[in-house]
Amino acid sequence: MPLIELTNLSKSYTDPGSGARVPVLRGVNLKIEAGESLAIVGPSGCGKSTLLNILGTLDTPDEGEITFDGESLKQSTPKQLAAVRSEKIGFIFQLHHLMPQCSVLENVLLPTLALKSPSILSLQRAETMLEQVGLKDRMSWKPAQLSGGERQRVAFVRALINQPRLILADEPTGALDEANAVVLTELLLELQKSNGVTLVMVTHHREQAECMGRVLTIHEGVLT
Amino acid sequence: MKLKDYVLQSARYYWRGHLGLLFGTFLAATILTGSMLVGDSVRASLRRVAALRLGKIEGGVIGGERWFTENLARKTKTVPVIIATGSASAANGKVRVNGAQVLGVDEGFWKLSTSGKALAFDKSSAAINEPLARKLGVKVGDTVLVRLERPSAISRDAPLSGSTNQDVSLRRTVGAILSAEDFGAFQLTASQVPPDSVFVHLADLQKQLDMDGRVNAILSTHFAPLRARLEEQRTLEDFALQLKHIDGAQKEWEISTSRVFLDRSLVENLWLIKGARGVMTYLVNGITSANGATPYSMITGVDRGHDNEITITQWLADDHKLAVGDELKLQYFVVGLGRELKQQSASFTVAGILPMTDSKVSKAWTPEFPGVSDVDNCRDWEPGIPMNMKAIRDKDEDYWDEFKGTPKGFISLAAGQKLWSNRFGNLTAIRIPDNGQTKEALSNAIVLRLNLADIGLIPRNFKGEAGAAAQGSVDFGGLFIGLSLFLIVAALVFAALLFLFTLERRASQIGLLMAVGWTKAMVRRVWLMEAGVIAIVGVLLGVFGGVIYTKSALHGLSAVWSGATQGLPLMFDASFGTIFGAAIGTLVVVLATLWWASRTIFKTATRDLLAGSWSADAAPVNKKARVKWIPLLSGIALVMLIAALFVKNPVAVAGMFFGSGMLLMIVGLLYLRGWMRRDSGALARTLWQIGSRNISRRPSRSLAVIGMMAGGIFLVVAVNAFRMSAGDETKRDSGTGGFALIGESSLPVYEDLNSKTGWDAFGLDEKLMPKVRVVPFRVKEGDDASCLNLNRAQKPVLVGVDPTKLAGSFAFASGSWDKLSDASFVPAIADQATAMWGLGKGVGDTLDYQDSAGNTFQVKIVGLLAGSVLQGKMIINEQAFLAKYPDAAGYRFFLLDAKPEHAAEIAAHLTRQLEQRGLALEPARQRLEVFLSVQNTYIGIFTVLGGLGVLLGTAGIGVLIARHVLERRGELGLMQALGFQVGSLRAMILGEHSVLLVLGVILGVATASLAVIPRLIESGGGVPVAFLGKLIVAVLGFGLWVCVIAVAIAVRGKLTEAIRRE
Repeated sequence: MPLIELTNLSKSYTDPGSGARVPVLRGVNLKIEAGESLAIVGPSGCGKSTLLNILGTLDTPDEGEITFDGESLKQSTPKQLAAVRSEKIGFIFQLHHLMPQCSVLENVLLPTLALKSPSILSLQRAETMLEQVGLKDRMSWKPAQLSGGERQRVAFVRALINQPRLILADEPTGALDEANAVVLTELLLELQKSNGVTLVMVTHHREQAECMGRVLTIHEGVLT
Repeated sequence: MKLKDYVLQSARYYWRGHLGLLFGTFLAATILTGSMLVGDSVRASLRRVAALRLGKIEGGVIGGERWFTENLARKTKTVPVIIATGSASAANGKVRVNGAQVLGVDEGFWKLSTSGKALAFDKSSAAINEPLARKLGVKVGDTVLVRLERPSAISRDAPLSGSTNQDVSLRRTVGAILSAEDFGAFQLTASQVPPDSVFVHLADLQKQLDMDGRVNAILSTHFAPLRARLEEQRTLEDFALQLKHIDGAQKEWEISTSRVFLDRSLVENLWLIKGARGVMTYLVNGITSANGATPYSMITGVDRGHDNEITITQWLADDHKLAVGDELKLQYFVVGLGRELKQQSASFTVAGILPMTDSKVSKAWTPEFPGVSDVDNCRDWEPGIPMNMKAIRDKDEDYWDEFKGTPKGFISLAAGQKLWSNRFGNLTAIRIPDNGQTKEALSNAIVLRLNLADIGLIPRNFKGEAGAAAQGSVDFGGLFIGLSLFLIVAALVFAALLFLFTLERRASQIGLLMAVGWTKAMVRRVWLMEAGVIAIVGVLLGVFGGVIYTKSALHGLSAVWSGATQGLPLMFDASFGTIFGAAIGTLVVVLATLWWASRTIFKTATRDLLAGSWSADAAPVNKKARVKWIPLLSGIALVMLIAALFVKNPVAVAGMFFGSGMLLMIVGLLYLRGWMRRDSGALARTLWQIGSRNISRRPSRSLAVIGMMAGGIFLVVAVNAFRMSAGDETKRDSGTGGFALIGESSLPVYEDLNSKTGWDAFGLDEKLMPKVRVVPFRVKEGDDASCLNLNRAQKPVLVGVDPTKLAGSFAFASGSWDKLSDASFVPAIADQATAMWGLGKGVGDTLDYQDSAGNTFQVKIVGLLAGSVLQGKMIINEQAFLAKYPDAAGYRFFLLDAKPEHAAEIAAHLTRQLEQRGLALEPARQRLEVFLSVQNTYIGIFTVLGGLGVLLGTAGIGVLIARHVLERRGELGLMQALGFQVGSLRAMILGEHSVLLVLGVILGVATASLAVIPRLIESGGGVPVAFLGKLIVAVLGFGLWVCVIAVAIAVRGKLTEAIRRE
């Protein structure tokens, strides 16, 4: 059974100028197996981020169905979707979105606050993972004191802290220089493998996509 | 990390961003706490005044015109006091104070003061309190003259109650001047204004008033046991009853009264004594028959018999040569309203003739008539009725010498009662068989049948009443909250606005938290907790600010706003409960405001929040819904305006116009919002056109500027237009009712000042008096319920008037004078302000009073006068008044109708001629203005606080503009890079925001103008246009100045660097 299955998924937006509906995703069908790493590539405006948002339950499709671990999310309430996100999905964005008021460790622990019963091992796990990404000595630092690459490493650990089944990464190295991007991509894949999670990454860098287990292209809302 | 750690960390990290929230909360807490503490302080001040005026007194009895024995007080270990009203003047006679409280007290009285300090002053001197000393300009050792009325056992309105000219003058040296702490503030009515009091030794005053051993009030340090104790110790004397043995053919005891007529409430019980028979003896003006006329004779009604038969004495039979079967006629006066007497007559047939030696022919039938029984000659009689002395013959004098008041004829009791029953009673005595009892035993047995409560001597809980009066007083806390409401709203808007700025800046954080699985409710809760932390700090600071606010407000209320507190010495008071309540209240209101203000951001999609692109104006707009509001609200406003044409209640009309104005202002804001959202599609070719695009770029912010200005100006202008003035006082529907003069007298005026008799009684000018019409009111003392009394009146002054004399006068908010004619209950009319604010009542509500027999009756409000000079009183029909208070003699409150050009001369003449009665008159307009000054003071307070609110709002506008411009620094840098001068850019920004300010002013003034139309019509243009004009110019000027400052701050530095940063 695939971890995620999208069936005939469609999504459109209203054009603010003409008021007409503009299709973004058209009849997308996709199966993602557990532990798989998948890259979605395509030009700007092709629907990559929309697809990622739907996968992450941040958006809902107009038509079609999405199942997660065999369960349909169609009838889920916002509260249930939030629970899915906190327990099963980790996000990595192009911008790190770290809370400037919180330390590195606190930023990592932020998702644990959303859990109904946070694990008492979360702190230990966060420290271990931060050590793993080379930030052991910076756990008490504030994001403003970190470099761009370090901030994104914190974001990686934050995405993994609740031991999700799926990591969704939206151009995770888009704001970094090429050298840093390569290093972080390798780190991300290493983390994916070591934690046994599924990774779906949206990128428009073909080289980065090639590092993933499977590459899909999206063009004018159609996945190929 | 726990949630609270995150909250605290965020609050700490973003403290600069929360300064606005902190300031807004601080301000709201300051105002709310301060306002509530003003309420606490005024209540505490009233309680302090109550404590000073009552000392240790808890309960007591006020007899008023009922006098009882001093012994009753002695036996019940209470303090006997005489409480009377009179006038006091300095020895030089230059200053006279009317309505002074004259007190007869002994050493026990001083022990009741808070300090319990004994006061010693010479027996031949008097003590006065500080207010009176100040008014008279006297000091210890000076002489004061006190004038008061000698009390009468019976109402001076009663027929045969004697002369009305019974004034007593006391000339006393001032032995002491009493401060409020030394019981100088003593008074039993709930008022914050200390009375003008003269304290005379009890025995001295009793002697001067011919009331040895009698008092009319009892004071006690206890209330609960007082009634039982008094009833236990009562004697016949306390009921003004006498028991006398009659040695006639039948041995009898007679119960009579010094009041001439026995109280009906007592008769009801005395009548139940076995064998009791009633007696009604009356002085008739004349007895006429075919053979002659006999003046001024007593006739007694007793026993059963034919109603048209009379048994006469031999003396009368001889005088008229009458025999059995002959006819005779009795002429007599019956009492009408006041001392008005109507002569009537009745015919009788002689049924028998009694020899003068008959035991029935006795002067014992005749009660002690004041001015009659105690004089030697008929020609010296002063019975209090008009007498024709020429009609008295020598033989009548001889009869008086030999037989005194022996009746010359006897009719049946039923006939006597039919002819002479009046509101004072229907029996002059009750006789009961002598069964061998001793006088003491019989007296005790009779007393057991009577209760002091039957004659209205019911103990009152003065302490409880004072507490209720202070507790239910004008709620200055609520008043200040109301008056500061705009300031509070401005503070909340300010706080919410700046909180929203923070939210906008941190929108992506909200998105992130939602993305990592926090629920919307959880994120929102965390945000409110963060705001709550700041708000708690603001509230704590605001508590201290509130204390300063209260002290400032109390200072204002003691100085420039003293009209609102009417002489109340204010003291600061703060209770923990009030502060806690205000703090929690502020916190709840602030958080609720933030919750409401932030609702749109939490409706925004997470992806948009993550993109950081959220703003209040980016939220989806339901255009259709908004468009529907404009016609709907306009329609409601129009309906209200049309309905106002058909409504007569001026307050309701004002409310409708006010509401319409407010609705139209909202319509205007909605229209402007729609206009801003509309894309004209026209090409912007000038800098100004580009600037005007910015107005509609953030419609919510632009509307906030317009709304703040419009709302502030609307409220300040509309409320200020309701500053009251007396208007044209000659108009019948004005607040004066068209009456030129108004006044009170210290002592009752019994005479009709519209009649020749009345003029003669006071030597009034017969050429001047036809130019005035006097409308007299009877007065039952009580609490002043006008806006001049801060206490909640427990028993408002009740006045009785003939409503036909007021027909067509005064404007009614509800009802009319005709409503007082309903005899099925006791209808009353009150001034609207009195009913609403003084009593907390409206039409249909009732108030409980006790009549002179101690029975509780209800007075029902049937009408409300609009803004009248009759504030503070419950006005009932004179007939209903007399039915309930037959003893309340004379008139003590007057309205005088005269042409303005004669008013001063009439006032001076009447004041001079009725000096003995202590009459004080003043222009009715002047009295009305005093009442109106209270309301105007409230408006003054509102103007100051509302003005502060507008200034705060304007300052908020400055912050908003600065923020708006700071956000645009990048594009401004671009424009500079494209070649625009910084000066031009400043002008553009200033122009954009000036337009918003001007639009706000126009909208506020236009809609406020609608709201003040009724006021313009009512006052004939009496709206303070110049004042309001200056206010608007000042607000606009300040607003523009704030714009200039905000723009200068936001545009300073190198704009071009902003492009690089972007």
